[in-house]
Amino acid sequence: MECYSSDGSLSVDNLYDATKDKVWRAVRFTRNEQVADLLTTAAVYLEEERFDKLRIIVSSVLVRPKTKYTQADFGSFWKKPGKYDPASIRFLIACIPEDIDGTIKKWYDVVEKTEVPV
Amino acid sequence: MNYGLLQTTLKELNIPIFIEKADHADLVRMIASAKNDSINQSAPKKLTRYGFIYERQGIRTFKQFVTKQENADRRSVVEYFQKAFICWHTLALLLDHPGKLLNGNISSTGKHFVEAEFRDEPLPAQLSLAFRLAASGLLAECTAEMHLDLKKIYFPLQGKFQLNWRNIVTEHIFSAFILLVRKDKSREDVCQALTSMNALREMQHNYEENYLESLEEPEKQASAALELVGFYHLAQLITLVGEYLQTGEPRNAKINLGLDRHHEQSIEAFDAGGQPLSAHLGDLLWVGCRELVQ
Repeated sequence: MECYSSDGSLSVDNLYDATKDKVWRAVRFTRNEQVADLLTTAAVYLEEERFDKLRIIVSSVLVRPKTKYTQADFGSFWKKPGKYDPASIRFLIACIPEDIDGTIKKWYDVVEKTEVPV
Repeated sequence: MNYGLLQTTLKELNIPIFIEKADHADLVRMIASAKNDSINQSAPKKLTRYGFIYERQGIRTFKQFVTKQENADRRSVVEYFQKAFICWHTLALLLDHPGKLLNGNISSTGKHFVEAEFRDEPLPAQLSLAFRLAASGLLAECTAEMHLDLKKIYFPLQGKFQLNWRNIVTEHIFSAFILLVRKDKSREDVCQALTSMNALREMQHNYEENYLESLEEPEKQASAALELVGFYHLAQLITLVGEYLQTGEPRNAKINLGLDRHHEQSIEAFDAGGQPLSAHLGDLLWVGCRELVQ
């Protein structure tokens, strides 16, 4: 993704352009006329930088084992929220009881055993 | 209600004025030729985005107009497509280097913007721009400018061995539409368009199966097969219009019925295959074909 810098961290510099491109792409892929008009309206406001007309939310979900979670997991979203202006931040950390690898393995075991009726 | 919101937003943000300014700047660039470096197009990327908006609005209003819905009039269709045409026309004539004329070619800078914006579409940038110029120029009643633009665009079909069947099909159909619109050298272009559709039918047997088998995953194969069905219906639009332009048959009401039927079936196939971008191109092709037989 364009909004990540070479070291893999989130770069705010390109976040605006990448978000704009994503919304325009969604506009082109939308066939439902009502949804398309709403998306197009948002895209035009974003294109023209009329942030006073938009409510932008930076939303992330981080899945962590309960034992590993610390407040530092929020990173720059916590320390420098101003970097994401004009967006407000919604950062969720979902704590799971066991480690990630074990949970994923269990999940696949369940999925593979489940038969989906055709 | 959302439609009204979008209209209000476009006006409030002066998007029609941005397009009008692009049109004026384009005219001044043509008159001033290479000696004036100061008339650059501001934010050219926006032209692809706003061109798409007005193209889509034009299609929607055209649909409402032909189904005789309230508040849909021919003038609105023309106005939407005029704005779309200005965007595509300006992109086609953007200067590649300040002070350097295009010398009768289409702008590489303009093609670059189209390529970046419509990278998910099945058409190469040059063909996409030419097709949009042809369709919007027709509906915008800007036929003189549109014909001049199309003469600048050389759109050879790529060697069929370099392309997969999907690309071969789309390039044949949309190039043929441009030929029908251009109608250069009397009726030669119309003949070429019909020949191209016949060539496509002959090639189908050799290419279709290999293309679908190359996709491996059954879900992808099903989606691609439905998309091909959609394109085959669009090919029927080209054949109907080409034959009409050659012979004047079938008469107006009957040909419209045929065009509408194949259009509906193409959109059903695109929707079933989850191909919204092809469906949009199909809508635009249908609008252009309807206009060609008026």
